[in-house]
Amino acid sequence: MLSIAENSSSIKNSASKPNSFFGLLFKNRLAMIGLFFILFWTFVALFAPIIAPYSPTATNTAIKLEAPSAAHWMGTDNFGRDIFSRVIFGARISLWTGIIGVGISCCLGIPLGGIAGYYGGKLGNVIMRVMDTLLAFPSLILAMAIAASIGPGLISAMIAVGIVGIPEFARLMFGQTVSLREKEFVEAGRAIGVKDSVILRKHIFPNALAPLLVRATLGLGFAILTAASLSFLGLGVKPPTAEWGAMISEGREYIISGQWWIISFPGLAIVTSILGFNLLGDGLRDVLDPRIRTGK
Amino acid sequence: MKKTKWLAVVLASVMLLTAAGCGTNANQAVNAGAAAGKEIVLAYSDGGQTMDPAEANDLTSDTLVLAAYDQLITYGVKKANGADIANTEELKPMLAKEWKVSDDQKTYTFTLQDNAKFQSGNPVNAQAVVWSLDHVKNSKSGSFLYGMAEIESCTAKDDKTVEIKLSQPNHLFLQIIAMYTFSIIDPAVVKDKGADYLKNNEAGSGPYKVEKWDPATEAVFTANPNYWQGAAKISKVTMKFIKEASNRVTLLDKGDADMAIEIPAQNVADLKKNANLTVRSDASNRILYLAFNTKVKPFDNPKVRQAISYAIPYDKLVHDVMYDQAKQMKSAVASNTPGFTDAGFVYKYDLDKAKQLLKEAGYENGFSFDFTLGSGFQDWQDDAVLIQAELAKIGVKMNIQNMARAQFLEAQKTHNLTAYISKWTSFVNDPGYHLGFLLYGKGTSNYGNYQNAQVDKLWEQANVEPDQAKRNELYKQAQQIITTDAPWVYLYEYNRVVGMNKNLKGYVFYPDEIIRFYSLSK
Repeated sequence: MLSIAENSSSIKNSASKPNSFFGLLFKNRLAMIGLFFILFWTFVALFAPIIAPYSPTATNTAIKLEAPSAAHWMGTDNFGRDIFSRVIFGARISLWTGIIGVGISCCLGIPLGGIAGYYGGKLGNVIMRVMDTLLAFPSLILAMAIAASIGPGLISAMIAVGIVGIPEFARLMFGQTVSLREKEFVEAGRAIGVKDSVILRKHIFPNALAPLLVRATLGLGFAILTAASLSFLGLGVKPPTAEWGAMISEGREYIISGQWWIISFPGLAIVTSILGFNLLGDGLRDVLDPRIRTGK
Repeated sequence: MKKTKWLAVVLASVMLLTAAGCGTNANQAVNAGAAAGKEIVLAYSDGGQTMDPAEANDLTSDTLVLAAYDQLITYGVKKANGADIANTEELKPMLAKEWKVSDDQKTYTFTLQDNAKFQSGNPVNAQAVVWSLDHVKNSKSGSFLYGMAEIESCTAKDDKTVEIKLSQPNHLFLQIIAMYTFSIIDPAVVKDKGADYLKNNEAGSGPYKVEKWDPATEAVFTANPNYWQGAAKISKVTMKFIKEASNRVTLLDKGDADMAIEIPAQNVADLKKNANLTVRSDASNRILYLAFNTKVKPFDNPKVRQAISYAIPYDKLVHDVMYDQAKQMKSAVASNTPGFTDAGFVYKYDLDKAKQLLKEAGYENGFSFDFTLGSGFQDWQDDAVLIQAELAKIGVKMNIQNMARAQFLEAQKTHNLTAYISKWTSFVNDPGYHLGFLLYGKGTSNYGNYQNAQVDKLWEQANVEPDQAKRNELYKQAQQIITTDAPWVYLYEYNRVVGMNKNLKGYVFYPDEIIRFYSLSK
């Protein structure tokens, strides 16, 4: 695979289209829809206390199970809590879990993959076989096992989501490093005696950034979904915290009796936020992956 | 080209074979249906653990056992508001046609039915009874009840007479011996097939044979045509195991199931609108309580426990969580248990009183505690959230810790949980049995470590008191002390909600909540 650094010059020559990174990205309509969703949810999460008309945890059984109305835009749940407010506050939890989860995956996966790829040999083999073992588990089952063993809660859900994502990043970084370490600029660095750690950080990592960025964006969507699944299964947030997965779990008892709004709105929130990250991730890949880009 | 042809031939033959296979299966099904007569489908939630009467310990396993086995004696049935419910105080003959009690109340002599036969064709005789009781004694789960029955020895006097000696008079003996645990097993079958045979197969004299039992999907029973009390009216019963409550409700609503159990309270009103269905909602003796660890600060202080009891939105729990399919609980004993009293129950939702009690206990500024919430029951979670919101108003922070059900049951047994919600059904509807497990100092299920010397003394006194009225008086005193002490917050008593098709008749509600198929008809 080519790196951006090398490739950027060749792209600049085909001057007919706006071909800067942002220019290409802005032209990608789907990526823009994704970005819109992400910005929307980020805004909602940041200003949740201002936007939400009610407290997300205030119960009032006198108004329980009310259908969407002017007073309660998304209706109320079985405790009379305002679903609109809960969805808004849920955005905070979901985005946080996604960011922390992917953060953990990156912080551990990228160095591990880099070391394994750069040094290779026995060390690399051991690291990558451990990663393969982790990959062999279905990710949700692994996350459930981790969350259950640490004890259910928001933090353990974040840790579980993070650990599950490690091998993906490690493998990606491993592949990048293996191809990059043979490049002339790395060899040149080694020849003049630059330390391994500096080569990895300053020369290999920046050149591997593009695919990692794509992976991290897609990973955010996956992390949100996994965290919501954990909460749905009772391994995530503690009641009465508003979290989309937990809201769906609580509301599913009411599907038959006709209170569709309890699960529909958090469901919609999950869909749009994940769709946002996936669309943007795909868009980023289109822009950053030289093979696709030059092919156009 | 050659390859394609060859493939086509193979495909064609496979299709033909499949079609032929379908044909035979369909024919078989039709034949079976014609011969079998009346069939019903029941929607259950759990698939059960074992078919061994002495080891069965969950609702589905117990149901399997009661379909396939008989007991020496059984409970009577009475009418209440036009519906049939079991009368556990009245004991009726089953495999034993009569029994005598010695004057010292320590020797019971049972005479067996002349015509009772096991499904294998062997007669039900005294040796089988002795063998079956011995089986309970040596079992993991049932041996506890054997000890509780205070059985000292069991001997066969002749082919049809069994004598059971007790180590001391026990007013619960007959009620315990009527439980499914003490089912009479055919020893010849077990000797022939080995000891593990009972786990997955039956060897009883009961009204139904188990054709198939797969805990993941379904159990199928066919009526025993030679049943000694006459063959059952329903010739085939299929129990479908469906975890998700909403799916059970849908099956019932659409008419694909003749009966569904464990119906969520919020669906009751809708189901009642369906003209093809009857919804039975019977007050059970299944109670739900919030238990404190009375050995842990601050719950070692009765004032703190009382304060919490004053901060509970009792009406909301019954009305908004249970949709009125429950009743407020006012004693540690269920209200339909003989000897129940609500004396001492002064608690009502009164936050000022709660705050005042906290102040007296030295917790004017509140405190925080860990609350363990076992999974599996939506209403538990709803209760916890509502209680949490109320406690916050008196400065008490309740941290809800979720725990998977299996883990929760284990954690309870450590006696280390600070506070938790739990349910209980006493299969023997008697305060002695009930309190003996739950709140007697040495009770095996006293997971909140409640200890009150006075309560223990009253319980022990009652245990050896032969006169029922005097015994109940002692239990009432114990209940009053417990209620005042407030080791539990009393939440509610569940109704047993069963939905069934209008044309299904003969449902009898038993306090143990197990459905006996034999009385059903269509």
